[in-house]
Amino acid sequence: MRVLVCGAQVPFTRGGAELHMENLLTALRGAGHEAELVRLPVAWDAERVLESALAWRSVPLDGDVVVTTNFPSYFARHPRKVVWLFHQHRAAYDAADAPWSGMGDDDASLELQRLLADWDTRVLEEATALFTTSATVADRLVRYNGLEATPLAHPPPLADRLVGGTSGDYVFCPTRLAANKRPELLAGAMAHCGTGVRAVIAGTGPLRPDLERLAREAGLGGRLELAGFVGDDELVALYAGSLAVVYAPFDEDYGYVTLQAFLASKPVVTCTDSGGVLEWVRHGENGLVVEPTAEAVGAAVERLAADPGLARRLGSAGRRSVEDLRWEPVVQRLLGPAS
Amino acid sequence: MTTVTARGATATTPGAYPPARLGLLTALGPPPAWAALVEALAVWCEPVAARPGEPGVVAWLASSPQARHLPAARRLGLPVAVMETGDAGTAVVVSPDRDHTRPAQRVPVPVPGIRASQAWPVAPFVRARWRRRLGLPAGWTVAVADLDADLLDTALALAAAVVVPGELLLGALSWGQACVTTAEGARAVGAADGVEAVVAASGEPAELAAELAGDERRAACLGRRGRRLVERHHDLDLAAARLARLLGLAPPVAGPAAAARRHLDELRTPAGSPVRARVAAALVAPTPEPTGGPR
Repeated sequence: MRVLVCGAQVPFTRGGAELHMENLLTALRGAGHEAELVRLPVAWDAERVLESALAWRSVPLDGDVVVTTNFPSYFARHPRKVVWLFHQHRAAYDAADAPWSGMGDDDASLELQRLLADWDTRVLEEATALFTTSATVADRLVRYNGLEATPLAHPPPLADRLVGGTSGDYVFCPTRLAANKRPELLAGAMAHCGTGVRAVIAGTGPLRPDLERLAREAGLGGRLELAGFVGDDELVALYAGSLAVVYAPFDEDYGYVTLQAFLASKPVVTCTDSGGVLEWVRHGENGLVVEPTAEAVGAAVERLAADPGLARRLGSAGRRSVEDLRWEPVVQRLLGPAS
Repeated sequence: MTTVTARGATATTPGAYPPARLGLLTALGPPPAWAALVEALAVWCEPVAARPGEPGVVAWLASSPQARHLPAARRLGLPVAVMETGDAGTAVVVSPDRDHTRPAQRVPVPVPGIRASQAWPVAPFVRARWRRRLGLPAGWTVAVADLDADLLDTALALAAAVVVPGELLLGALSWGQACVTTAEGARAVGAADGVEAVVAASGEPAELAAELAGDERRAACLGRRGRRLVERHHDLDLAAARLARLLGLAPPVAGPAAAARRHLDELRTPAGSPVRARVAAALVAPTPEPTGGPR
């Protein structure tokens, strides 16, 4: 089968969505299909976001089936359009009130939200099958657009390389340094930890100067390491050597970090409003779920640092909860009879 | 209170086509049942009351008894549309086209019908933001029958849920509203209980509306399905567009600008939406620089 995977491109940005698309291509090819990735640039500002969506309406897509992924690629037209929704334009939906959304409650913003929600609903209704990456994304679809979808979980990148290792003296957080990922929760948490446990945050992004300032002002010294970009080998090693993983984004769609941590047999500390992460992390079973405050995250880290046995038990349970994830059933569902 | 209204807006593009004159031939003006259809046709043409043989008319729309007065039009090859109501339902029969090459075409006219383009579907979470902006209660519900007519559209755009009598149900559904209505009202438009609307068979309507207002997911599903019910089975704009094409009133659509317009129409983008102007500006061909002729 000739499959076109469609996704939006934010030039000069690379994150979970890009990895997801590439891994889907690999899985499709591994299942014997011809697969190509089709990407168009998207702009997030209100003035241009609709044009990005309209551009997809005109793209000729000659394949047996198209699998569309993130906003606005699902505006593509094809008789066999399967939607596997990563996320919509969240600034117009659940994150409209977030400081980074750029969305106000003025006439223009409200009309943009109204129109985009109407457009989204119409083009998503065109799909021959509607899947989401997680129950969190499916819940947003029914709440905001009145559409029901089936969550379809998949393995994270590096799934076959992540292994457990000896627990070290640090908690690890690989993440983009962006507002919705809230790396400042972990940075701030370190000020509330007295056991000498360290934090390593790997990733790049606009919040780095803020985190550096926060570490200076809190006198964290060497207890907060901003490792910047790390390659795959180092990433695997950092997971393996950590005591636990702290991942506390705001209302995450899916969250590879959670699954990668579990595959490395590490418990995950997350927050009560972290969205898709909560579909995997169960408090006291394979991680700790706390209020989204630096104090609460700090207390959770302290608890694990003081009881490494607990961290190991939670991490092992985490591993068991994700080790059955495979790409083969995902490909079968996406291209199967229901689609 | 801010008045939210979509009156006057259409999903198509008024002014994008040169107006053609559609002759209306009826004994006493259009029968009331047809008035909304003629109004919808005005997006595509200029309907004018006219006598047979009137110059400048390019097509005719006639009531069934009056159609016999149009043999001259038929001889001239002008398309004639005849409004009929019978056992097969209400429809306009167009015959024949200018070239007499196609058989008569029947365009069903929905009864009851409404112009879907006159309301903009508003998702519950957007309504909630509007209410917050205007200082209205978060779970504001409205009994439509108690409203002044000039507040109707505003209430239908903003309320979290409404109690609506049968005769106003289509209008409420076209705004994407979560509606509580009567069994008769739901039956008249083909709305199923719990699918496109909630029928107040046993419960107190106001309490049912309050329940809906507190359940954003259910309200979103009802609102979406209700709007689709209107678009698929009760939309006079759709019938008018098809009629306009058959009568030769809508020019053929070609070229990238027209394709973009079609995409915007398919997405039911309001006529005055700024995105239409931006797309039109983006698709204007640049004026060629003068070269001074071949060298």
